[in-house]
Amino acid sequence: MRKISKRSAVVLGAAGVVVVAGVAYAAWSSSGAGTGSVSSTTSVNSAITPGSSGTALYPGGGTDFTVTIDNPNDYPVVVTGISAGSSDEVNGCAAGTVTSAIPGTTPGTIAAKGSRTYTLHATMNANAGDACKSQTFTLPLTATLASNA
Amino acid sequence: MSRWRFGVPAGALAAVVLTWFAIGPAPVANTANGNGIKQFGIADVPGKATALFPGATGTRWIRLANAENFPILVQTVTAAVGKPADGRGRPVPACPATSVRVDALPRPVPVAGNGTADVALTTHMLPGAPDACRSVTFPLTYTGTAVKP
Repeated sequence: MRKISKRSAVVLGAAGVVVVAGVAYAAWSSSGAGTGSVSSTTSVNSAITPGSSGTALYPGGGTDFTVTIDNPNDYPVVVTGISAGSSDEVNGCAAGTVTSAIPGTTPGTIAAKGSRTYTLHATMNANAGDACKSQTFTLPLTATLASNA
Repeated sequence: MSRWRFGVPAGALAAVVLTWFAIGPAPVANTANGNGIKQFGIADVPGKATALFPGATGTRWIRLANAENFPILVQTVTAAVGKPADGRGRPVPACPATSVRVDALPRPVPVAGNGTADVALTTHMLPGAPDACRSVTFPLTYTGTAVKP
């Protein structure tokens, strides 16, 4: 019977191991697949509430007053603008008797669920009538905000 | 007599090698995807995602599911972001899919045989995402690779 030589056995054995190892490495890989999703949050409008009302007004006079703007969202925001204000009619005192200008800047970030106070300036018309004495004026205001994460 | 003299005849050794060839690739034939291991699953973990807003970084937890009865090492997972839809499933063309990015799997994750592993991917919404991206859902398509460790 033909006998295998040591050299042949070593060569064949090594070749077998290398080939089998190579096949095994290539075989044991896999891929994965699937689907999912992520969502964006919504935005909730802020509210503007009166703060300090400043000093009492008189015809032609002015005063600083403050408003507080809240942030009910889960993310920080900045106030990009606050509108001018004009008073409603109150007890015979004409609408527009008291006005507030657009503030030059609205600095700072309002943290998530936080609030921040802003100072505005109000002026009473020089021709305000007697009906405007001892009144409290309401100035509707609007503000624009943007996320600032 | 050398110990090699009782060795296997060349023909028999060749048969052994051929048998190895036959046995080695066998798992390939038994797998679902033909690559050596059944394709593993990638799916969202319900309820575990951060709602995104402009500039936000959040997490999207995913579950890796191994259908094999031996452990695998998931080496890569990537997520492709698709076009978003609103709450009624309608497309939102004003919100580009590029508004959201999902980072790849940060490191290999072992998954037990017939087991699952949860892992978090990091999500981002670009700071400049438009208002149209509020309250929308971005579909994700996951792909990944794994090896038998």
